[in-house]
Amino acid sequence: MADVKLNHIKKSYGKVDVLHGIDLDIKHGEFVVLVGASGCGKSTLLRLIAGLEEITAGELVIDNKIVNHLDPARRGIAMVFQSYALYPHMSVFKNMAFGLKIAGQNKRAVREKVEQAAKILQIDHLLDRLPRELSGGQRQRVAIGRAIVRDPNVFLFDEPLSNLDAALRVQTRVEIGKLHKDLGATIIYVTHDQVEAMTLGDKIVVMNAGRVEQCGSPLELYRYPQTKFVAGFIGSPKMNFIEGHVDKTATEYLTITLEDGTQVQAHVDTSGIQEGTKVTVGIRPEHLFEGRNLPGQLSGDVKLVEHLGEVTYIYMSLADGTEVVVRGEGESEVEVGDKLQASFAPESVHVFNMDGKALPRIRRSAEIPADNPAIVTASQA
Amino acid sequence: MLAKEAIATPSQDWKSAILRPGILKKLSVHAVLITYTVIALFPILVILINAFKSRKAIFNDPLALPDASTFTLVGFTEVLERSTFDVFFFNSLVVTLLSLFFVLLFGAMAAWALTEYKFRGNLFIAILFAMGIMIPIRLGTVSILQLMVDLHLVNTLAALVLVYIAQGLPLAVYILSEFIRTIPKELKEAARCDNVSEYKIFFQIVLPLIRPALATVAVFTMIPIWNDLWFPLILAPSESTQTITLGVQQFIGQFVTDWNAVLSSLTLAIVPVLILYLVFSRQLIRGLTAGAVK
Repeated sequence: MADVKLNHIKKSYGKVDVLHGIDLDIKHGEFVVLVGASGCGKSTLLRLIAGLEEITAGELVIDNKIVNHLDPARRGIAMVFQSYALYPHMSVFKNMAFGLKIAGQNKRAVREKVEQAAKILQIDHLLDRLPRELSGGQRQRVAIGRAIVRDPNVFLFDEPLSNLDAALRVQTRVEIGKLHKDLGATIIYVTHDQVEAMTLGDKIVVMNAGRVEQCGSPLELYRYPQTKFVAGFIGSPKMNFIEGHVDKTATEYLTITLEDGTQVQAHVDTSGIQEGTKVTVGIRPEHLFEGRNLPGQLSGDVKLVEHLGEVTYIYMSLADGTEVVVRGEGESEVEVGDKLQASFAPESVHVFNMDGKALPRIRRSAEIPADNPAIVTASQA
Repeated sequence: MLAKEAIATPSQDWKSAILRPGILKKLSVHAVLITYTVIALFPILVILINAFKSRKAIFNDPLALPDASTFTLVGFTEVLERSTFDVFFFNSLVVTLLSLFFVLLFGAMAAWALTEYKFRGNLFIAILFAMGIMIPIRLGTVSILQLMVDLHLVNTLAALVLVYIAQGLPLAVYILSEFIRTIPKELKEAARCDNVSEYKIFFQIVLPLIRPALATVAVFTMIPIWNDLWFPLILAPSESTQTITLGVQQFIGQFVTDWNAVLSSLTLAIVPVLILYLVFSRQLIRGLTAGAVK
């Protein structure tokens, strides 16, 4: 039905190129999250799709129609703004009904629609209030309600949760997820928060400096990041990056010597990599374990310990000064100043060349749960 | 114990030393403001007092309040019965309200166009308006008169309305542009997504949000128009088109001035501006945009 297709979309402001040719294919009913650091062009892309800014070059197709030059209202989209953008002088009901009234729908139909949307969002008791009498979360719901009543093909969300406090953000995030299931609509959602991206998206588009860095399902991006940028962006805390150079290549295995002299093995595609090349090794904190149970070994001095209850983040520095975060057990007894041994499986190691491109990790039929050392060792043997 | 008190006392001195300059500053600010208010209100007060006094009492002691022996309404009866005061009053009101309406409407429209849309000549038009603030319109009186003669508009209220619109527009555009710029752009974008036409965005979203600014501009525009003597004298001096400021002049003779009538009509002339001011000042509510964004 309402597929959205972006063919080489470009945007420049005068001589400054902001987007360098974006290609995206969004199927009906998909929840697509555009994510990236601020200034990477994700909001601009959303505004181009909404029709609030002119597309410099390329083609935007919604529902099999080229909509490059259509007004926002005629593209069948509805947008929810970061700042809610409620009309301050109108009651909640009028805010939601305004667009419908303009479209010339009769009063009863409007009232019915608004009340139905208000019920879905549990704001039916607020319809007579003015926006300034509402809390942040309620305003956000009204903004979403205003989008729902228009019955659009595509919902556009521009960082809708960033003005909410942490608790409310989690709650609203869950509600948006449910809403997507209930409405079955296509949603394009912009955020800089990778947790929102991972939890909400069917498909995540990671953007960097006006380009699409990688696009795929949350787990796909988590497991097989194609670039160092994506690897660092997805996952929290960030993936550890350690510099080193290739020592030996074998089929599906690389031996890398890190800056501090430690040798590690990585289970990656080794075609096209020379011995002696400089590379960056990436290991996620959650794939590093206290102790020596796994073949890969790192050792360093503990600089900081963060106890979060269910996990402990241990910040250690290797012999050459590289900072590495280890996700330890919740009740870890490690203390600042201790020497720490951390170990990991070669399967969980990512390797990036100097251009930041990943050497593809070897795919397996079912990704091994990383927290099960027994299987990892078995498969390695 | 002793040591404690020793520390405590100087610290209190130190506190009051900080407080005293604060009070001094407040006092001086209030003194300046009160002085200004007294100076500004004094002439009006003198008019009000003397409007209710007999002619003799006005000259004997202009600053005395009317008492039982000096109190008289002779000025008012003279103004209301002997002259066509109601016509003057009506003319003034029509000219002021019409000019005000168009200044606000055109001013807001121009301000919206200049701030919201990018088009050729945008800056040029903005500069023209800015020049309108800098150059007094009275400098063009001769050519305005010629123009009105050519258009056969002399001795009509329309001539006055047109001139006052031109006089009021520049400042209105300037002030309203600043206000329109503060309206979050997401509001307009949300409306555009809602399929609201540009006209509806202007009338139903922008105008309600700049109401406080409109009220400010209204007050600024209204008072010079109501008080103007220059243009009514030049463009519309006929009996039927005289405004109140011009009408008052008939009581001021070369040899005899009917002070009772002059002061009474001036007193009466204060009333409508006062009412309009009260109406507009109620609109000067701040924080109208609260709740729009964030």
